[in-house]
Amino acid sequence: MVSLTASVNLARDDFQLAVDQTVSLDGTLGILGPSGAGKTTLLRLLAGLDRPDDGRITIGTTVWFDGEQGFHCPPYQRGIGHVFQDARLFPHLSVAGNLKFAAKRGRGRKPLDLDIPDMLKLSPLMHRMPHTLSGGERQRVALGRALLNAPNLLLLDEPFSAIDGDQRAALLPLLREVTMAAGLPTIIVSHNLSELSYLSEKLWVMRLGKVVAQGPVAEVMNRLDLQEVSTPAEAGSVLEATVANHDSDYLLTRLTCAGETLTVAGFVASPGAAVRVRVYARDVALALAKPVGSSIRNALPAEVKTMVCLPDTPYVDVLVGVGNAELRSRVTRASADDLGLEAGKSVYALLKAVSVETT
Amino acid sequence: MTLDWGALALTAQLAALTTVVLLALATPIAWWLARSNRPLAGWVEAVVALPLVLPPTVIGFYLLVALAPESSLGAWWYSTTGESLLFSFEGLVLASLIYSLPFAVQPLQTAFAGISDNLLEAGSSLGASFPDRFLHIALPLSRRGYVTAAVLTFAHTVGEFGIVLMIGGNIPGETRVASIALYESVEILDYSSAHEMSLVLLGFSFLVLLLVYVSNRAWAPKSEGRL
Repeated sequence: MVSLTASVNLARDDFQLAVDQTVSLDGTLGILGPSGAGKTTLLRLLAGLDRPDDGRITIGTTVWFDGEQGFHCPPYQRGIGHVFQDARLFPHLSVAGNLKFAAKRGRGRKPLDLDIPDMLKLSPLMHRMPHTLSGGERQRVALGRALLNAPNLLLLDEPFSAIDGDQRAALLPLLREVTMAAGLPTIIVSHNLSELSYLSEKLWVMRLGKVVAQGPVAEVMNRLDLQEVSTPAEAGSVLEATVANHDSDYLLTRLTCAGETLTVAGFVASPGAAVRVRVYARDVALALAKPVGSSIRNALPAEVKTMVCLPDTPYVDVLVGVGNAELRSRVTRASADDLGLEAGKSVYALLKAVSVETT
Repeated sequence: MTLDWGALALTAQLAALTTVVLLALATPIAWWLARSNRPLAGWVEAVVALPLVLPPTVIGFYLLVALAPESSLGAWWYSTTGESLLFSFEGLVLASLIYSLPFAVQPLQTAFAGISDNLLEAGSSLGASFPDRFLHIALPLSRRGYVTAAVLTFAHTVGEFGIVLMIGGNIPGETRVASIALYESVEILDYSSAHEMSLVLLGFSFLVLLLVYVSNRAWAPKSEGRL
């Protein structure tokens, strides 16, 4: 497990970045924030493409930047795989040429124990020139190029922003699979909560050049006080679960999650496997009694912990405790008043089996 | 009289040498001009472009002064080689380097300015040092600029006349280049030789420009420029 310390200051004409964080990079760190929050700037400082005014950047025992000593390790000596939002493939080289460029310069570092071209389905593209590729193909090549460089750290800067919906939906699980299989410390920057809740283990939230929240993704996403995780339509919760069994007649999977049983649609994984459950707050309803005569498969006994009104909307976000976990539920203010919701109240959290996503 | 093959060969030799040396010299200048935002860059750009607008005789006059054995450069050359820089092939090479400088720098500068920093940053993050990035990203992406620079430098050096007249004179095998030979033919009213030489130079110049423009069109696929 590698520890990253980023203690950096940077002042631009109309922008100030001040970050002081240490994080252990097991799995993927997501950095969330609106455009202009300084996410890309921070990533460029980590990559060495820009230089902080002062501070210190270390990864493991390696120092990348030390303002006091005036030391700045140039990007080409950092061993970072950087995937930019605009792919940046070399236009004079074919796909194979781009990959070879990276592999050649990654010699000396331990290559990843993966068949990267195979995983990313690059073989049919090898002889193509970059300008003939689609946006999704370009990003696949860019990711493959970064990984073949055998980096110590993978940086992804809005890797899906230039890709349309269908290709994005295909690339997202592929990226998750590759980063998990590579076991590579990864940092991904995005303004899209849904992408980050899918891909990251940890989350930083950036606002106006500062990290305003950080922690495990499940914890940060349940912060009702944090606008960045509360205002998006994709606001919700991430829960850890294990597969209990399958119902092959009805094509359902039962998960054990927070001490309760959760039924989800479809075949998820083999019994015993650990999976991650994503539930959008808008898909979680609350009831005072277990419903009868309802299509809802999951009615989990829960207790209201905190509630926050979303300003200028009809909604209230309610954080309920389910077993040892917490779940964000979004209901109308009218419903909250009718049910008399308040902290400590016992309720049932209702989840349709089809609205639970597993990864 | 017939066509002065010696003058043509000397011209080709002078132009080739000038082109090779000048491409090497112009590369760092053009790179710096294309990438620098400093006010000094504007000054350097103006100096580099001077030979485009100055009468060749002005450059010739200053070179005549600078290369004379009485000058420090001329004296140093004389003491190391025992020969004068004036009225010598070496002197002509030096003059051509100055005279043709903008024809090498400007196409390269345009080519370098067209290379996105994004691509160089991508190279950097993949572990490529500056020389590596230059050789394997910038150079292949600027090949059109290099062809244009080489052809224009060569052709412009072939067309040099005023400066040669002032500092080179008309020594066969040493400084008697094609344009001088042509001038002399006209002076002695040998119009048939003048016709031959003129036709050769006209044909050469046209072929050169044809090569530049046709190759520029052929080499302008979508793969260059932005991605």
